[in-house]
Order: sequence, then structure tokens, then C-alpha cells
Amino acid sequence: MDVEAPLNPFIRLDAQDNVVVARMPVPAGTSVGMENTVTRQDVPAGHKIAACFIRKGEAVKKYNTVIGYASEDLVPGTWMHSHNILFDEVEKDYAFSTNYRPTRYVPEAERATFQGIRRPDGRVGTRNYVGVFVLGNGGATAARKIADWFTPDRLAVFPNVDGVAPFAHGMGEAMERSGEPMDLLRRTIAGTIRNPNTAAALVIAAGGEINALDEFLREQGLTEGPKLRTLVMGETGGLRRTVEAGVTIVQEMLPTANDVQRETVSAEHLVIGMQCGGSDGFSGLSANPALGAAMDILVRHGGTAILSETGEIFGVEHTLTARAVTPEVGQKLVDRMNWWLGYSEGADTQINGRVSPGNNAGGLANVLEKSLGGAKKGGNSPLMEVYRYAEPVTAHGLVFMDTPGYDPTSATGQIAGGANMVMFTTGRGSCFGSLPAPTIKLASNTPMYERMVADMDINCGVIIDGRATLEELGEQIFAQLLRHASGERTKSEMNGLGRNEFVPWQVGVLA
Amino acid sequence: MAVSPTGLESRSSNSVLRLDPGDNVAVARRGLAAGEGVPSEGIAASEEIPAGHKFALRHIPAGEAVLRGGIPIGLATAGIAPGQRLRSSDLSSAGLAPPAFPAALVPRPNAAPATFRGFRREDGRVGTRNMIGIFVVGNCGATAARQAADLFDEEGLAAFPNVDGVVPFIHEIGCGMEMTGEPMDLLRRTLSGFIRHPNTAGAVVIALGCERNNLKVFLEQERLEVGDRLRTVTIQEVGGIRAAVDTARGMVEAMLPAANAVRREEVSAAHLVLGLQGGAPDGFTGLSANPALGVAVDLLLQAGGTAILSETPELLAAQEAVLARAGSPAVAEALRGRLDWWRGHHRGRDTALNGVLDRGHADAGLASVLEKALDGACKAGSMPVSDVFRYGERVHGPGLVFMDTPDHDPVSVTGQIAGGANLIAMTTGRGTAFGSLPAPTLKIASNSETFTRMEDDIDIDCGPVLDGVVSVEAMGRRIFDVLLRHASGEKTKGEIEGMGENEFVPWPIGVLA
Repeated sequence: MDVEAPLNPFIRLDAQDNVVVARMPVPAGTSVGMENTVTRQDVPAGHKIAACFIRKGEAVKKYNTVIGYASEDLVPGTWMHSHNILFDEVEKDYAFSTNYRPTRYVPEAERATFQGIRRPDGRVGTRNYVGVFVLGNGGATAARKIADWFTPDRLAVFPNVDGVAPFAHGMGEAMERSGEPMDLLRRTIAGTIRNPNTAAALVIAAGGEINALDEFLREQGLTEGPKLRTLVMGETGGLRRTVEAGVTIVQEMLPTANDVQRETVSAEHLVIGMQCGGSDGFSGLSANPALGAAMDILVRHGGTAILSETGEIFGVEHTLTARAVTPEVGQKLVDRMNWWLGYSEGADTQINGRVSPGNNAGGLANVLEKSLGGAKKGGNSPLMEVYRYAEPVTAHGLVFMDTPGYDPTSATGQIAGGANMVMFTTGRGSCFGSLPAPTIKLASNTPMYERMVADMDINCGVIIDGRATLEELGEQIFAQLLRHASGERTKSEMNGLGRNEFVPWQVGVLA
Repeated sequence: MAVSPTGLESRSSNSVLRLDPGDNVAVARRGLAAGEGVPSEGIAASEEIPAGHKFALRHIPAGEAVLRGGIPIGLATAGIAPGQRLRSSDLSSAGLAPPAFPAALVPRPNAAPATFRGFRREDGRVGTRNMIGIFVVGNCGATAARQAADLFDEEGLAAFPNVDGVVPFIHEIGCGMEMTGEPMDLLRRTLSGFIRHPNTAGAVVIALGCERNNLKVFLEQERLEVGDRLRTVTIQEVGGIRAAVDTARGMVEAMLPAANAVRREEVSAAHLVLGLQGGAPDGFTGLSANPALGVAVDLLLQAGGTAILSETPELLAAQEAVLARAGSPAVAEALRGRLDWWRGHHRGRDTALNGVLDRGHADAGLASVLEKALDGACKAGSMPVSDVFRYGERVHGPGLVFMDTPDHDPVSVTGQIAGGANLIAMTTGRGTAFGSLPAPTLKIASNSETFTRMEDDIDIDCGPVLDGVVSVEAMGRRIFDVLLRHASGEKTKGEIEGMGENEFVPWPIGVLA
């Protein structure tokens, strides 16, 4: 028998578990002293082995939670993945509000602060952007050309303005005229216009869109004024004249947009959209629970954390319903989940048991295991409210917004709901970025962090490496969040991301 | 065809257009004030009639067919008084059998064999442009692709005069979607159709690395082989956005000399694959731009070329007329299958497929979904439909073929270009600035007011047809000539204005998770 490496190559997540997770690639035949076994196959980093004998049909447990059932008798040391973990219906007990524990708030005088931009409606911005929006794809090139005109050089005289950003998309025309598809698009655009990080907005219409300008403004209660201007390309006389007129309008808006000062405000004004993308087997061990620890701190300081990606908590929604402030709030979550089950019926998507190839390669055997790890980023705070996609988020504490798991679409909904920062965990290395609320990216493992250090803001691999506890890392993440909220640029901002990632949810049919 | 050119010419000085002696409605060529007399018809407008809208020439009792150009566009739901403006609520198409279109080529004398100057490609197809595309398998690569393409501005490409541009083809899907089945197949064949397109000299495909539209599976499924003209970058492998942009830049730089080494040569117009489009139609499009484009299409088909009719939802209201254009029972069956699919796809949805015009179309003078459908179909000329293709599928001509696409312009054009269209012709009434790449879009206005208002964006004015100074036939010939010039490299307005980098929109058809 070989001499065992000083650091156990496997992580045990719970004393009751019958699987353990590899910190690093482990060759076949490696002795695993703590589990008193030997690996039977090569085990990629982030993948699992059986820690004891598991009979065919027996529950496979990680985080002391069932993630599936053994498809055959498995000897200790066997590599455990989707080939031998069967995913079936797991018994669920919603146990509404039975585990609700009111938040122990930090006294107001002692709450953490950041340097934010107070808006007239009482909300606080972490950034200060002028946005160029479109009602339909017909305005997309105009919006991008207008925004692109405002280079850093041209904005140098407006140091308090973070940029002029295009919010173009592919919809708005040839879509359903009424009902949720149109309502959703309109509240997404309006919510992003109203986001506290948006100082002023120019809305471009091609003219004749089904998402008609007058109806859009009326339904969303938006009034044109110095901070909200509109241009109709058909009336202005086409693309070039619209771009010229748009540049002039933005120039008129800039002095006022620049006339803001950051001031010390309570962390209760932070509204964080939580995201994960390109998860791996480590995400649920490091980045997600560390973000969860940071969000628990934020909630105690009066802030708001938005958990989303409904399909990706499928299977573990009972862990949230039990923490719901009221059974009604818990039921809203169940209702949304049931809608998704109907919507996805027959579709080859994660909710029906398939994880993406990237997730699978990273060691996640099935949707339940992925869901468990994903839900960890919400921490342990009580669930205070459940929102539809892009609805204004007004409650404080941990809330849920129903969105697809697809990163750009999910973050777009959260930002439309009022998120002024996004925190994004990733294992394989997502390069996502968003505007006007910037994205902070948290790497689940050190090798990826080092490989993609130009895109990653925080290395949660220190947990895997045994260099920090979740509590310590949670404090560090919270501190770094406050710095970024105060204006320190994130990596995705430095890389110019966010101008191609505004993707409202396309939920209806196209004509 | 709905338009009699001689009829138009004889009324060149009138404020209204009466297309057929038997019509019970006329079209206001310009806005008519309430009470304004129309001497040629011996009638006065009983209310304001906006330009392009129709009004009754005599009392039309409930249940009677409203005739425009000798063709019924609906049945009056209630009595319509003389001089009254025709509104979409006045018409019903229930129980109305629409007329069949002629399904035989109207032979036209051809002075000389039609040719253009194009780029011959190895597979025998001919390009009208010569571009390098930077593609993404999913939205996660979008910023990298755009930043890499933006590095190659005019200055950067000055040493490569035969390369028309380095273009980002980014989109909003590719992850979070159904991993198998038609939604993923459609996205993949759309991307590969662009990569293989005769206007694409080289392609770089950017992946994040963990998309549902997995790069390796995409390449395998589409039988694409990485080589000198197709390179891939995986962001997670190269180490992030900046490294991906640098890598893609290097790949494009390596492709440029070979891409630049091609030369245009004289080829037959048989190599043109023309995508037919309508965007923002009005009450005039069916009288001028569409029939004139139909003439140009007939000329193209006579020269051995291919034209693609699309926008299935728009045509649904004229189902029988469309089916009558089928060149064989098998084609009719295939068309019927697609029309039925759309009917099911839109059941219970608030869209024009369920019979009620979109507000913008009604405001622009169209009276019914049937009228809009009949107008739309006439841009396809007079040939029978010889084949039916799915969205983004490689089309095989020659002749008039049908590709099933939504109406939404960027989505429909994206499907046609993926299918091999190397030129797009789009008619418009109210005006559109749309543009596409790597195949450019030629825009054709139905009326001079729109053309003048959007002259920077629109290539051809069919207003002279309404004015009676140019016949539909002559306008069609002019359009055909202009198409050949643009196919030979003359830039369209859309290219001059820089359109096309935000209008690549593959049809998002499935469930997003």
C-alpha cells in the first residue's frame, strides 16, 4: 500500500453521507485512509466515490440529502456518477414554514455601509449608467451605434457617469400582442430603465412594433421627461438620423447624470441577484455555500438577496418552503415549480433530469445533485417573498424570483426587478457580465481561478485547498461586495462585458 | 396578379387608385380630407382617409365581398356607406374562398443572358460578398466575438481590399435550451449554414466551453471540419475573455491573406439565391413594391436562379391561394403540413394568425389578414413553388422554393441566409432600416413619401408605380438590374449604414430552462 498523501484527496460533506468528493484528480488504486478504502477507477476532480458498500437501489446521500439511487451493488472506492446513480422521483414534504426562524438583524446603527448613489425614489445605485433601450430588434443597431459613440474619451468630462450602455434584444416584433409574453418584455425593459443604476434612458422604437411605444409607456407608467426620452426611427428618418438624434439626446442627459455624488449608505440598500453558471462538482462545496454565508450576513444587515433559476432548484424546493415566512409564500414557489414542470413537459431540459454536458463532465451526476449545490448559495435565511420574472423586488431578506436557469436571461430578470449587483458562482469558468448592475464572479476552485484570473473576482477554491473556512470566506466575500458596490470595478466591467448579455425571457411564440 | 399597370397609368393624376373596374373600394394615394370630392369616381370621402387606406366606392351591404383589384379581400361584416373608410373590423374572411394565383411563368423576352460578378467557391456556389464571420455556439461567447470582430475596422482591413468585413454573428441562445430535438437542431443548422455560406470566406467559432450547444457535438452533427477556414476558440481553455479575443484575432489574421486572394468573375444569374421579405407593409405594398419584385423574381427564375418565399404566418390567411401555387401534390402536401403546424403552434395566442391584424398593419391601411397575405404572396412572381424547406435548411433550386420561417424579419432572413440566400430583397411600406450579413438586403419602398423620409436606408422607390409614371413591369426590370449590381459588389444602403451585426437572430423555438 502506498503512503497516503498528507492531504486527504477526498472531502466528506456530512457524517451520514455514503459518498465523498475528490478535491483533485485521483488515480485508480489510491488509498483513501480516512474512508478506509482504495479508488477502483480514475476519479476526475469534483467527482465522487462510494465511501462504503452501497446496495443496488439504496439511496445515495450527499449533504445528508438523497441525490439518487444506486443502479447496482457498488463496492467502496467505486467512481460514482450518472452511470450508476439513478435519478427517480424523490419524496417531497414541503413542510411550509415549519423551519421559519426570524432574521436576527444587526442593529441599524451597527450595520455595514457602502458608498452609493441615492435616487429620488429612495433606492440606491451602485453604478451610474445612461441606457439606450429598444422596443424591438428593429432599433438594435441604432441603439448600439448611439451607445458606442460614447467612448471613454468622450465621457472623460463626465467622471461620475460609468458609461452609455445599449440594451438591445431580438424581440418586440412579430410576437404575442397581449398576455404574459408581452407583459414580461415590457416590465423587463421598464424595470431596467427604473433600476437605480440607470441615471437616464433613451428608448428607440423602429416604429410599428407590436410592442408599441405609446402602449409600452402607458402600461408601465413611464412618463417622458429629461431622464426618459424616446426616438421613433420611422419618424426621425431612418438609421443615420436616429443615431445622430440619439447622440444629441444622450449628450443632453449627461450633465444631469453626472451631477451625482456617492455617499455613505446602509448595506440594507443592496439588492443582490444570485447566479451560478458553468457549475462543477466543487461549486456546491465552495463557491455556493461561501456565497450563502455572505448572503446570510447581508440579510442580517437588512439587505436583499434574490435566488432564482427555478428549474435548477427542482428537487430541493422543500428546503426553501420550510423556511418560508408564511405558507402562502411557500406555495407561490411550489406553484411556479409546477408551472415549469408543465412548460417543460417532454422537453430535453434539466428539470427532466438532464444536466448540461459541462455540468456532467464536472462531476454532477444529475439535476438533484446540481440543485442541492445551487440552492446552497441562498444561505440559510428565511424565504420572505416569491416574485415573477422581472417583477419589482420590494421585500428585504432572502427572496426568490422565478427565472430560467439560463444566465443572461436570469440576470436580466433580476436586474429588471431592481438588483443593483449580481454575484455569480462558477466552476468551469463563466465569463458572464451584466449592466447596469455589475457581476462579481466567484470561482469554485483554485486551478480555474488561476487560469481565468482576468475574469474571476474571488477565489473560493481556498475552501477546497483547506486554506479558509466557509465562515471566513463568507466575511471576505461580504467585504469585497461592499467595495464593488462602492464603485470598485469588477473584472467583467474591466473586460467590457454586459453590452451583449441583456436577454429578456422569450416565453411566447413568434409569428 | 392584383395590379393592372395600364389601369394605374390611366389614373396617374387621380388622388385615388381604383385597381379594377369591378372594385367596390379604392385606395387613397394621398390623405383625403372628410368631404373631399373624388371626381374620377363621382364620390366624396365621408370621413378622413389616410394615405394607403381604402374607402367604399358605393354602398356595400353586409355579407358582400369587398373587391380590391378584382380579388375579394374579405366580406363586409355590416353595411359600409359610400365614401366610408374601410377598417379591419369591417371585414371578415369567414366563408370566403380566396382566389388562386396563376401558377405558370409569364415568359418575358430577355435581351441578354443575365450575369453578375461573383466569387466562385469550391462547392460550386457563388458568393456576392466575401466576409469572415466570428460565431458563438451560445450567448456566453457574445462579448468575446463582438470585441474580436470590432478589432478589424476599415483601417485594419485596408490591406485586404477583397475582404468585405469581419462580422460578429452573436445570438441570445445556445445554453439553457433543449439539448436535443428541433430547437437544438435548428440552431445548429442555422450556424453551420452561415459558416458554409458562399459569402463566408472563413469562420471562427467561439465557445465558453460548457454550453448545452456543445462545440464538439455541434461540429460533429453538422459535419464541419476544423481547418484553415474554420477555427474554434474555447474561452475556458484559453483562460478567459481577453485571451479568447486575442486568440480569435490571431486566427482571423491568419485567414485574411487567403480570404483576400479571391477575385470576382462573371457568372450567370443562375447562381443568385434571392430571399424574399416584406417588412412593415402598408396599403401600397401590394400595389407597387410587391408586384414589381414579383416581376424581378420571374426574370431571375427565367435566368435559372432561385428565389425563396418565406414568412409562413403571414401567408396562412391565404392558404388556398398559396396551396394553388404548389408545383406538385407533394409540395402542396408539404406546404399544408407547415401551415397546419403554425395553426397549432398559435392556438389560443394573441397573434395575427388568429385573424386579427396587428395594429401597425391596420394603421398603415391594410384591411384584413387576407389582404396582407395576398399582397405578401405577390412578391414571389408567377412561378409554381417547386420545393419546401425547413427553417435554415440548405435550399436546392433552381426555381421558386418555400422556406418555413416566422414573419419576424431578422429571424426570417437569418433562416434564408442559413439556407444559402446570397441576396435578400425586402419590400416595405412604412419603412425599415433592416440590414443583414453576410448576404446583404436590398430595400424597396412601396411609396415615395417613405422613400424620401428614409432615403439613407432604402435602395429603391416604387412610388413612381403608384404615380402611374412607371409600369409594374418596368419597375420589376429595374429591380432585377439593381439586384445584379448589388450582387456584383455595389453596396446596399444597409451595408453603407452598417446594419447586420445585430440582426442575426436564429429562431428561438423551444423551451428555455
